[in-house]
Amino acid sequence: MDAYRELRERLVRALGPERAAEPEVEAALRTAAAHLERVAEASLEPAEGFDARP
Amino acid sequence: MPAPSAALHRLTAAEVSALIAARALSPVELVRSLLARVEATEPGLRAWETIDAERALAGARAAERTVGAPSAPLAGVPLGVKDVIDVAGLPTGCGFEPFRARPAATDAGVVARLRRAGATVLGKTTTTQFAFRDPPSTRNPWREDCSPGGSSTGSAVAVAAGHVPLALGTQTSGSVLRPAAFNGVTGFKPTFGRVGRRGVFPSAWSLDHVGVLARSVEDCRLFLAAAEGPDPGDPASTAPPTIPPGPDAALPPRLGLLVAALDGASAEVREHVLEAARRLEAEGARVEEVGSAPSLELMQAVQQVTMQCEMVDVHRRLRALHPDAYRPALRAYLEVGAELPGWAYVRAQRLRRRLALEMDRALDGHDALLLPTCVGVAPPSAAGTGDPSLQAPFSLLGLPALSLPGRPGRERLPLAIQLVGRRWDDLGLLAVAAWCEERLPRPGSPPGLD
Repeated sequence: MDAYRELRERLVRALGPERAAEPEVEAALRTAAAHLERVAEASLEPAEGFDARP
Repeated sequence: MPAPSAALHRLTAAEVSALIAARALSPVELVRSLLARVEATEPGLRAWETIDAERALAGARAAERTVGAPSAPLAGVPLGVKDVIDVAGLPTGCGFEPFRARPAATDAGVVARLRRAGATVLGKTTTTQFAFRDPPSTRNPWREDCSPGGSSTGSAVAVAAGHVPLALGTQTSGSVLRPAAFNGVTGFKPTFGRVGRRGVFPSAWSLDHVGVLARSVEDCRLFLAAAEGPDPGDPASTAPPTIPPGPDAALPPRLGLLVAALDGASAEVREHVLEAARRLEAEGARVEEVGSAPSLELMQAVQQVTMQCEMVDVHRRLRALHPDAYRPALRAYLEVGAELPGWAYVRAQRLRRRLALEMDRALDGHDALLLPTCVGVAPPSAAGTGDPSLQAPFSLLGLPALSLPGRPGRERLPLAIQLVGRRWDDLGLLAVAAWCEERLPRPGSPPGLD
């Protein structure tokens, strides 16, 4: 998963490309994407009482 | 009343309380003396948003009349209150211009409880805007070119500078412990839910804690005794459950050294924690390495996703009304947070429950975990309010945590160790911290502020 790319696409749609490219937004985006990626990739095995695998 | 021998501005809350009870110190003289000190040093520090001299003196006069009342363990103790916490009649500015002229109608629950215990509010201390990381103009009393930390910035500086013995702070990531460490004072955040948050402007509901900046562990215990208890205005607050007895305060503690926390710390911080561990071990403590704790990086990521999503909701309407009143980092953080997908928050909460169980297991057999409070000493002011990575995990898990100030480091900035206790065993943690405090070097006073 490319968290940065997905989040940036959402941001550009919401704020427009100019605001999304401003340094403080870009910095916040990079940090949030790194956290998001870590959360997305962390293991949730064993499942909580059910098998949620696709 | 005779004057006490120690400098009034260096007394702990416990010492103030004892001197007042013994009629060796007048609460009015104390407040007058501290107000004079604030007046002399505040221009260089900017620790206060509002000083409420008139009502502080009125409170001190009332305290003088009730000296010896058994229900007033903090009688006459001057208190600073972080400017995200309501004090009746004073604005709760939150570092946000549209709030600057909006006085609170009533005291926050925690302020009301501390007043009932006899404390006198001296005023409101500075905060970063909405307790986020855009720095206020407050200066670090140890070195003015370095950050005083945040977000309970003014509270930490006011205690370090001798303005008040006790000040309230709040912590969502690391906002009590980190400024405590950077300013050479003691910072304590109780177990989540132990101190109610009615009247405290939220940052993130499931992470926000009210804590205290103080000059001793004993003062943290006094704060907890006065402040704790369920508050109907805060559904997350509750009475502590019955737990197995904690460590015996008289016995050397069993400490778990969280080695993973040393990996990302500066050489100086690592050396200081290991030096403290050796010294405590020499005094009889059992210090064992904890290798099986959950990942600090994952805990920080889960904490950040949780906080960012919750903060977006807190500010949803306010941001629409006053978009330009937000500081740059907070504004960008909220804009990005608004685009985080819902599954990320859900997944973060599922991970959070697992991390809490893993951390409980890591604490098994230890009275407290030992680790650095921060990865480094106070950074240059331009670099922001510091790194929350070693405090945020314990805000996420709601565990009680305390920062104990240590000797100044090579750059004349205070170092600190962090102790983390078992859930609800706040008293056990405070007993361990008091044992350590007695045996470790203290930072002394900031230069020029003895």
